[in-house]
Amino acid sequence: MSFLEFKNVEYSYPSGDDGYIRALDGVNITIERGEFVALVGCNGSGKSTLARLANGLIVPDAGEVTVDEKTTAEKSNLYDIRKKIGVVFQNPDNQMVTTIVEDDVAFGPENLGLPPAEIRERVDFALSCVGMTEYAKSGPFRLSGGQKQRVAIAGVLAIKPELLVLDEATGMLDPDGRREVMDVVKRLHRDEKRAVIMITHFMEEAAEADRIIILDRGKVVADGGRELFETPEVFERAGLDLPLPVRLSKRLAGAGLDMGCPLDNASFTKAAKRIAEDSAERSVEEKEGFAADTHEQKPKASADDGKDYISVKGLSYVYSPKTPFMSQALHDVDLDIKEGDFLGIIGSTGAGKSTLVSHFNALTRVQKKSGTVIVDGMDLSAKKVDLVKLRSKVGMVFQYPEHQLFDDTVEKDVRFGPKNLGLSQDEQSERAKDAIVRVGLDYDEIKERSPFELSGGQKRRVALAGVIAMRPQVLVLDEPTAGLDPKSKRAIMDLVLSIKDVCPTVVMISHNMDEIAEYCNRIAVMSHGRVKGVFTPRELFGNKRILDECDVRLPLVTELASELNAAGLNVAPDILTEDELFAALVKAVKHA
Amino acid sequence: MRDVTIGQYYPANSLIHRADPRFKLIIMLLYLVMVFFCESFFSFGFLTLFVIITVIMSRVPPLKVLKGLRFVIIIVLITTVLMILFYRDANAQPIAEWKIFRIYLSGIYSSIKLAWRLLLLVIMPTLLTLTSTPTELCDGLESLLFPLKKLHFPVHELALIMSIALRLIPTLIEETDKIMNAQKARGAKFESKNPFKKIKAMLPVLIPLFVSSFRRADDLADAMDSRCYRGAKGRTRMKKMRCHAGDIIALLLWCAIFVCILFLKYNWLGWSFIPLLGI
Repeated sequence: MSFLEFKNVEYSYPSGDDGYIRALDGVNITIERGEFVALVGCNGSGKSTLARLANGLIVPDAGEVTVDEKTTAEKSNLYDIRKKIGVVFQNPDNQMVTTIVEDDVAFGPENLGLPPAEIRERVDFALSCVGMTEYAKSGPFRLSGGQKQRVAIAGVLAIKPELLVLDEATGMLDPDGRREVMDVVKRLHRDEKRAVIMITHFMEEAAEADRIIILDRGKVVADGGRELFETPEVFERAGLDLPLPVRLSKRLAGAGLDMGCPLDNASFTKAAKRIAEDSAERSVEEKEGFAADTHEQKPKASADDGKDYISVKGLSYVYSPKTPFMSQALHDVDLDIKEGDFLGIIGSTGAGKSTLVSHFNALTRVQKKSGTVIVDGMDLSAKKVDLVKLRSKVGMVFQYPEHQLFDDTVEKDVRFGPKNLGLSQDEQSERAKDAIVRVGLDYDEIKERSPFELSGGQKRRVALAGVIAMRPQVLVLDEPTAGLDPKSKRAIMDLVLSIKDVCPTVVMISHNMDEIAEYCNRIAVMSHGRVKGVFTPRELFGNKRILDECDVRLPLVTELASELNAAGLNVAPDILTEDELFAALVKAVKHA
Repeated sequence: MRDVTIGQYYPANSLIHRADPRFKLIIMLLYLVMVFFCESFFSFGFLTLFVIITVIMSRVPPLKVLKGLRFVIIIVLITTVLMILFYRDANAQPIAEWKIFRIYLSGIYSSIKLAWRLLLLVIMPTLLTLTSTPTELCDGLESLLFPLKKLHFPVHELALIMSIALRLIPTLIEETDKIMNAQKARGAKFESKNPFKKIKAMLPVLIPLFVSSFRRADDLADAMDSRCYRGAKGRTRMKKMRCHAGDIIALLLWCAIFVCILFLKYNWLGWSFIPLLGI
């Protein structure tokens, strides 16, 4: 008998006017002790429903879920089942019960009724497993997202479950946080022999697992080992991406270069070296064929000759001045943003990025004698600033903008901004319609619907429409793609590019270096409240000194390129896009 | 990112910090009653002496304690001045007079006593919150209310609710801030003078806040269920509150102080020196 079994499981949940939505439809899965399974599928494929079924938070409408032959349908079994299966959820802020890390980790073992000494032992063990021992006494507010998720994992681990289910536990984290959590999970599987079900839509994470289950619209469409990546069609049909090395090797196969199916950078580099050596033996005379230099960056909106739209000079900012909590968020910041710029702002949490951009539309006012901010000729350090005028110029999209939706219909919500600008009814409707269409939604279909019943991706589009309807000249985006699956991520970024005709200037805060490298023409690097410099992507990601100094991670593509370069292949280490890398590889291998 | 925390815990390693929160709460109760039995300047001074000793023992910088009191100090100052100005004593001559104001010696005395009493009332609870974490206080309260369990009063649930509230209030404050900024960026104004308009203007903040609070509550419930929570039944605690000899000595000491103050007030044994000690 297997440890965890799903037998013909069906589950539906109520939804809006349509009655019910079938989330799972005849699912059969068995999981054994000690397995490391990745459960993948795009948003709405039913994968989170599966997590909640596994430990009996919900019960199937039909079929059965059993853990060690005990069914989750029987309430009296649940306590035993939950001792064996621990679940870590997506939102790092919504899983902590108390204000102190170690007390929170103790919550589970306390519920088990263990003696205090053993609880203490388990808490210490769990915290050391996730590398959070030194934070045992701190509160949640000093922790990063990745650290909070590690605490959540420790909280589950202290119960000593045999299976750990991570329900998109990395979905809301930045790349560093994702890596932290992934490292912990891999270590738990390897050293502590825990079984893991990793629910995710990041294929790079799925590639780390031993077994992959693909879910598409409530059905299991594939279930197998890593060899699944050799048939990429299965992933594509389910709306999923492939890991970068797999994507590249597939394209190279199309160009007549057989690399096999490398899942990570190391094996990709090895395979590339191998075929480079092979082709070097085979053909010396073909060399001339590939003379054209493909190493050319795709043209980006260049803004070198544009006028300064936002100009920041000597800006400093202090939180809670003259109190014990005083902290300096900005130190003497100079920054010019030109019309037509797509400026990226990067830097670790607490570097002052959000404080800086919130000055642009006077959500944060310039403090006395702390520099100047000028937006399209308006001096924001002046005593009186026309806020309505300013806010119609600078549109601000915050992290998780869908959390600001409030009205009962989509149309009304989008009109909120134009209404506040004091526009006429007709103008409001016209702008709302235009904005909804621009974000790629069907106006007639969606305008009367409640924003709360939409899917995650749709909500974010509506929220974006609410800002676009103000017709700003500058769009400031704070992590616009956080928490979305890769497809929706790309859709949102394409959308931002598509409105460049009406809103030419974009400022984007992001931790995602792949996005920064792909979309920005200039990048401001911030650290400890200072702007360390403004670079083009190639200057930044090709400059080891700046990268190390500012602790900047490389984009995935650049990381792979520099590994290939280090392995002796003729590939420039500062390549920024997949197309470029593909071209460079074809050239390097054929010319070797 | 601003640091939002509730309470004002000041971490330090002192006897007061390490004391059993249950004893701290009991002594606090005793102390508050005690303050109302102080009548003469001598008894105020006597009690203040012990308060100062406690503050020193806590290793919290005195300035930090006073900072926690700054609003109270302002209120106390205002009431003292008003009281001195408007106090009326029919049996005495005013020591100074100006227009409608008459100042009596007895007025000065009683207003100083009032101010003193107020400060004493506030300073120790402030010290309590400076030296104990909210969780400790919650646990202490839960343990002290234990007898009520026999009456089917949901003591554990109440303590858990308090603990979760302490955990989530700062998160919600931060969230309110974020949503307000987001709506301001869409041109919303919250500064209306008309209270009805003001409430209406707050709807774009309140609705998202409610939605997210319910979502958080659901998430948290799932997380708690997943971690084998079944109410107080069969639950143990990692941090057993243990009282040490020091806690008992402290309690006895404060009882002794209480007795002294009662003596100063009632003079049961008719000692003749007590009336000499003051007004």
